[in-house]
Amino acid sequence: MGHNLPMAQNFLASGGNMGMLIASHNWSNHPLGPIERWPVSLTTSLGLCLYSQFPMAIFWGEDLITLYNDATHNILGERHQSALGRPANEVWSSIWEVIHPALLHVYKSGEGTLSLNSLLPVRRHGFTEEAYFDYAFNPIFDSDGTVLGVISVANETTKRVLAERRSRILRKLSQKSIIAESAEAACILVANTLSEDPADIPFALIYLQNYGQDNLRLAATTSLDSEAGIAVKTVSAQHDTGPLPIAAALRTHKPQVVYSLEHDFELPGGPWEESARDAVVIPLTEARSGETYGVIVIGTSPRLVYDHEYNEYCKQIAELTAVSIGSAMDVRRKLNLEAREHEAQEQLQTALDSGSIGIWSWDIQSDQVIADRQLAKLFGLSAQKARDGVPMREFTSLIHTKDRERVIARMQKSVTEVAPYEDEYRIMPSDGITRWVLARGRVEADADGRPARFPLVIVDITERKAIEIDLAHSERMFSALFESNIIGVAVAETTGNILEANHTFLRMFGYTNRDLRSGMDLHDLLPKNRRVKHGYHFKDIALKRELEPREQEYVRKDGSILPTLVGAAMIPSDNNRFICFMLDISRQKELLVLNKAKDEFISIASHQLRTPATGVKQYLGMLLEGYAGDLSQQQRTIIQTAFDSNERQITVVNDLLRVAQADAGEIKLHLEPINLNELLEDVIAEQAQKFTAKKQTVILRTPTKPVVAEFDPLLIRMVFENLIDNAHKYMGSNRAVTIRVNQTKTLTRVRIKDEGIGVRKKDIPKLFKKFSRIESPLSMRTSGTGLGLYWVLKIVELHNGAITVESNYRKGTEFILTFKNTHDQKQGKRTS
Amino acid sequence: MKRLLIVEDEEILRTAYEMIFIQEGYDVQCASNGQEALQIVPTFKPHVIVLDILMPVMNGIQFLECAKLSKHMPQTRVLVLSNLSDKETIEHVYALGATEHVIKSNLSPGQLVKKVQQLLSGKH
Repeated sequence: MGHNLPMAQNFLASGGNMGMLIASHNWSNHPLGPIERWPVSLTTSLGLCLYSQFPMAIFWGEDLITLYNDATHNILGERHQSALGRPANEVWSSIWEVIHPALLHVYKSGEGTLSLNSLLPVRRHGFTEEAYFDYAFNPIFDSDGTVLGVISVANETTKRVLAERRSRILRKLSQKSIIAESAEAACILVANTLSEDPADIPFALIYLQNYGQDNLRLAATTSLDSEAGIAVKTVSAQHDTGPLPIAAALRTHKPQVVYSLEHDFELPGGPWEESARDAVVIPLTEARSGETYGVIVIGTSPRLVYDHEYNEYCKQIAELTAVSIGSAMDVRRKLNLEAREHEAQEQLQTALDSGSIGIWSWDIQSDQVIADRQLAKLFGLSAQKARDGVPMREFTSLIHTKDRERVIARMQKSVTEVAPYEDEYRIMPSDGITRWVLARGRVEADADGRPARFPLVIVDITERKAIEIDLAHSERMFSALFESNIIGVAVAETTGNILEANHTFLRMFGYTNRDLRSGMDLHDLLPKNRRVKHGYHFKDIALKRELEPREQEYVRKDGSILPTLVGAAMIPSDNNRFICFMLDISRQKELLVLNKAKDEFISIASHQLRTPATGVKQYLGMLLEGYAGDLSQQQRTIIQTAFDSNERQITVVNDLLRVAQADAGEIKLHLEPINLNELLEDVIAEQAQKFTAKKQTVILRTPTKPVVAEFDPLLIRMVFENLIDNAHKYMGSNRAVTIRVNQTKTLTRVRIKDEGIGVRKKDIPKLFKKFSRIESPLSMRTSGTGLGLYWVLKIVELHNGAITVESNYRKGTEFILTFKNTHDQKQGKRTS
Repeated sequence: MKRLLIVEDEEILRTAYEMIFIQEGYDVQCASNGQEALQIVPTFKPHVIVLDILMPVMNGIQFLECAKLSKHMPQTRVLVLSNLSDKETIEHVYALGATEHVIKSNLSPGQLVKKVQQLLSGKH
């Protein structure tokens, strides 16, 4: 630095870059004037300021002219270039509201101020950054004690503030992990905790793996409403179709940062007015088990640099979330076990309470049976009599005739051989209800070895027997299924090894019994690219005991793809084997593809047909409307006929397109409350001309109060247009159509009754079929595509409504539309 | 003279609209897709744009997104003339600043001219 400074400015020489800058600045036209004339109190304070390693600044005079040292650059950020010598309200405009009162206070009172961890946003790194400072303002006095300026010293505490804020959240997360009862609940708890730190986490999405499927479901979010575009409910684990690198994070097991999301989505910015721009996607991997449960998407703050500390924070959130989910799943498993033990105990208790176990003792010598109360009850004898003793035959007489002889013989045999006895038989107590019992006992001998007593325990096994019978029945049913040609059935181990398979299963895959005997594995039946992932299937079955039916592609022995509907269930009280059911759905799939191709064809064809027809309409229209000069009456008639014919073509094409859309399930309802009275008046007014032309009348009967229900306004309008137009077409002159509207608490009904040609009863079902035209002399003359009523039916059904027809041939037809009143129709998707 | 820009990829329709509006006394320019239209708009400064949706290279929706008419030319009226009639498309073009949406095959030349006049007089 080759500046030669005058003596008075020596204090600037060692004042770093700012010292040099102040020295070389042109102060001659500045309110402070040339440096030589600056008051001593200013130069002294400035010297102090420039030497300091802390950010220090001086605010001088009434305008609070700003002078500052090198360390202040970091606070000024990008404003540093133009800040020197400018009034403080310009230099510190963004934080003026915060510091101005403090500066005023210092000026007025001559007292210093101190602020700790104060939020002072700084424009640096190309954006407004969230930054915190400790700062003090102290007065600079002249010799008589007047405040001439303020000297400030500051210390940035951003890192400390962020660290404290983040560690509070992490602490909370690790505490909360103990209480979740399910993975979903754990995610919601995590999301709630993360909501407490919107400055670091403007938004977060937590996705859980759907085990056995290649996708993840959205389990929880913070501060995003469910309609937010970024909150996709289900995402693929294989390929990233959206901007979020979820599959990439799962594949690499590493956090993935994604930038500039604000172009695609509306995102919250936490407490700031800017939207979040970037996000990081981190796999939820539990360190203890190595298990990856899903991913967390964390939106990063638009006011912070995503630095090492920020990244560590997000990674720790992901880790703690994974721990939370992992322990929730443990808790769940435990709860399940406890529930099962509890159930078994309860069953035993119920058996004892119900008195289904009874005891007797048969004194063989005296042929007297003494029985307890339960046993008496079981046989329908009085408790008193049983206690006093009755002859054996009183009991045997109550045994079912089909079993009696056998029972007596077996008991005799036990007595003769002094052997243990066990039998199951039916008894017919006096109440008439046959019961099954299990009897078990042992003959006791007297001192001489002769049979003396025969104590017996009798258990009521009626229910068990009923279950056994049911079971035998379902076994027969199952064998029928197993042997059938319909459904593929296999028994496999959770490892994938197939133990048994029916011939349908083998035939579906093109394997033989020999292949089965030499060993088959379910894994080998999967397409190659799905094999690893599919390991989850079997894990999932063991955990959840069953696998709900779903579509799954497998590979036949010859390598061709086999689309199936597959479901599985663990074999009861077996933790290793499950039974798996498979339906070959290749035919249905083919049909689906064909249908889709057909719908697409219609849609494309319709568009291609509509454009030329629109062209014809424009050119003929130009002629008719005089754009090419006047026409003779004859020319006009000819062109009008061509124009009308073209209009019909456009109608047909529009109908085709709409029906194709409806068949493809592409129609979505946009429900809103509609006043049917007004709507019908409107439709009738629109069609009035053609009714008048044919001397027909339209009568609308509506209740005096408005009939309001939820409909899609455009679609329901088409329904009425169509039905009213039909009435017009199929009625002769001087006839009337009557439209009645009524509404009860639960139903809204519109009846459209015409005096038209009517429909034969046998033809009514055909009315709503696609392309069906019912033969009648009149219908040949009317213009229609046979799609109108099909379309009407589709729309009514989409509204959860029903349409019925009553008709008298040659007298007239009545269409009755009935809709359930609901203000939240579930089928339709509400958008407004 | 009111300036009108027609953006339509089908030549037969483009020519028809051009003939109609020239006869009606408009200063007419044509573009066959959104990209061409983007180049014409800043210098031609149309009062009205008659805009198709389905077009190659750049469709009508992309054009509206790029042109940001409500920002750069708030006075310009946009009549979207398309055979796409699903509610999503209609709501989308309105959100992007279209003044009105009509089904192409529904309008005869006279009705089209009337629509444009209504748009210009603010009665729409």
